[in-house]
Amino acid sequence: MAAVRQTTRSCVLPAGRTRAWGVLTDPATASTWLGGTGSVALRVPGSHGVLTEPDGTLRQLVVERVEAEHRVVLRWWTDRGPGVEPSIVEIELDDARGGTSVTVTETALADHVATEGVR
Amino acid sequence: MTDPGGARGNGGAQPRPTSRSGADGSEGRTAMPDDHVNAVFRALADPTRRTVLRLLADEGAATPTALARALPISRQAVSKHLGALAAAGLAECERAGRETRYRLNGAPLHEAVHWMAAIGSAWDRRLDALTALLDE
Repeated sequence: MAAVRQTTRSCVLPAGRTRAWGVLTDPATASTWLGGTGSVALRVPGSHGVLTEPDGTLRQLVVERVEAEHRVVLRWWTDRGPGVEPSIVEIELDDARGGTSVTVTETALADHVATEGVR
Repeated sequence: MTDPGGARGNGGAQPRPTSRSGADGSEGRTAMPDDHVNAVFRALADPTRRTVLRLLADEGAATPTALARALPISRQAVSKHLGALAAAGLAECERAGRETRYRLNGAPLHEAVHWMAAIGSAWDRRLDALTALLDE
């Protein structure tokens, strides 16, 4: 058993990959589905964004890697709550029957570094 | 310890699996220091230590001698595992005559389960929102 704090969720989105990627990463919609207000540029590696969540929690993020229409990797953390420790978030899109599969894996950064090596 | 969560429904074609951990989701918990959290998960990575924790949970408290009788390993090996569990805060010890008795401390496990439940629930909400945007 891997000793890693990691959570994975996946589903099939009701759209083709191009449209799914567009809505997922569009600055006009990204903050909406991520659950906050603010500006995030998920298509731009190295970009820094800030979201304010409905309960006032501030979430900061850095885009680590982008593979167009396939994967975006973020590093993020909040100013309070269980997200105060930084995490790596990998969002992966793939073609699927009925639309586009999206798989999200969030890994506590300390555990991610332990398993993947220093990046 | 990973929470694979699983696949969600696709427009109602599949039932949404209830894959969340059973944490109570209470607010205001203090985050454990990184070293402590890492020690918890390293301790839990070993199947023998997980068995020891289960035995402690079942018995309430036990000595290394008693645990060794229930396991296919030596008393010395049991003591080593108990030391790792105590270092991670998952077990507490007390003197019982000439031996030391150990009990389970569930608090670190609750913190880890709470992390996975909170993060997993947040992603369920985000993916719901993303699906709704694409449904428009």
